Amino acid sequence: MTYLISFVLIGPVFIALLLLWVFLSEPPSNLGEANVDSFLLEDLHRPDRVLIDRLFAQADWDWVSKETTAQMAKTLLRDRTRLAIAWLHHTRRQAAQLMKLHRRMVRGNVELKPYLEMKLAVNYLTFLFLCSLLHVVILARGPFRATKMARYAFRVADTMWFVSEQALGRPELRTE
Amino acid sequence: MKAPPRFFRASIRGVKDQLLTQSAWWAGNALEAVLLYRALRRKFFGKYFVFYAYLSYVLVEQLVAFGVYVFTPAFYTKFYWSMQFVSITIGYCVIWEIFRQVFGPYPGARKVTRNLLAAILVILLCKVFLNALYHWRLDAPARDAADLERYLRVVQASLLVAIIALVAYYAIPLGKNVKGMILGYGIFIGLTVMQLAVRSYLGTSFEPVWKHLAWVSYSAALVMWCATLWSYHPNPRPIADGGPERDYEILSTRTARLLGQIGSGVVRTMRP
Repeated sequence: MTYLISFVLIGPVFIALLLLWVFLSEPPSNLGEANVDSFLLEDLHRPDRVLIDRLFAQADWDWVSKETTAQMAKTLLRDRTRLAIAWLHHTRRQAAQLMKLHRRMVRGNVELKPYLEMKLAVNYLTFLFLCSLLHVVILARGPFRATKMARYAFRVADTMWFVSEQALGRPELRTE
Repeated sequence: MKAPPRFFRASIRGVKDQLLTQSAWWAGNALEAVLLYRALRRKFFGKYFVFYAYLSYVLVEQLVAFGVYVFTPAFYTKFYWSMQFVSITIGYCVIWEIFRQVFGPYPGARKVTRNLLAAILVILLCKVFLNALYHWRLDAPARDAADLERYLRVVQASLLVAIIALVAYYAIPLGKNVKGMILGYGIFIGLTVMQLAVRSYLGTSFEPVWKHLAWVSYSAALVMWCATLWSYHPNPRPIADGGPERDYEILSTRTARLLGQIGSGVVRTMRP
């Protein structure tokens, strides 16, 4: 009985997927050669280390919460949360753009190696997982406490990331 | 006003039923003939040869089935199921045609899709084999013809899902024709799987309804195809992005490095 119900459900789910694909699929991309070349020129900026360190600096919070009023501390927390979320969105968008360009460039390439593509996809999914995790933690505990809570989960994700990069066969790609 | 006697009402309903079935059946055939005529007239029959061969086959099969139904009704059920399996086999060729049309100009994406489709086929065949082995039914993996058709349609649905997923992943632009081909055939498969499952559950009591529903699903596909294959809309030509001349190793290395750089920002925020 359950077995048959699963088959009855497969039909509508499949049709819903198809309709979703038709209505959500993007019109043919307008990205031209210029964008591809800019990718090749490494136009994607490196993340600003100072900005990140400043945004999540525990010292700021410690000082403001000790030396100023509760109202000030609350304002700082709210503003930093908003900034951290905005930065996270930007970072995620940059990675998505990078993957999109990569897929656009390799889809016509005869040399493409499916296993390498799969590893890249896993790497990207790990990154998305990290971003989502950080997002939730920032919203739940604020940017200053986010680091403590996410530490354990990060170690797990970082290991996955490292393994994925090693698997690409290029340890030199690993960033500090 | 006095109601007509029961046998008379039943007979009126029977005639109405017959009329409805016949109208839907002939309307479907007419739509199919129009589609074929348009493709021949506008000279794009050859562009989607396998797809139009499938439509031609279904049309001819329907007409022959009508003859069998009228002249040798006892043989009709056997004829129907035998022809149905030929139709499913050609349906697989339609999926191959979709694959060819979509990924033809993109050898990289084609390679990934081919591997994925092969993996899906192997996994599903293994599942069927193991299932049959488990139930000691190696000689007949399905209970009856309808069950077998349901399994085969589910495999087709899985292949189409894989194709759609990779079309979305590689952002492959599709023309109206191929999109309509996928959507129409997909709707037909989805409705068929659903109907066959209900039929399996309800048994013969569902048979009279199922007779009509089978045509409804195919008519839905035909309407979709009429809307999207009325004239020739090929897939957009790929822009020379990347291209075979660019080294894949360099491209993938650069992507991995850039992704690592972006990711390192997120990672740093979480470091103690």
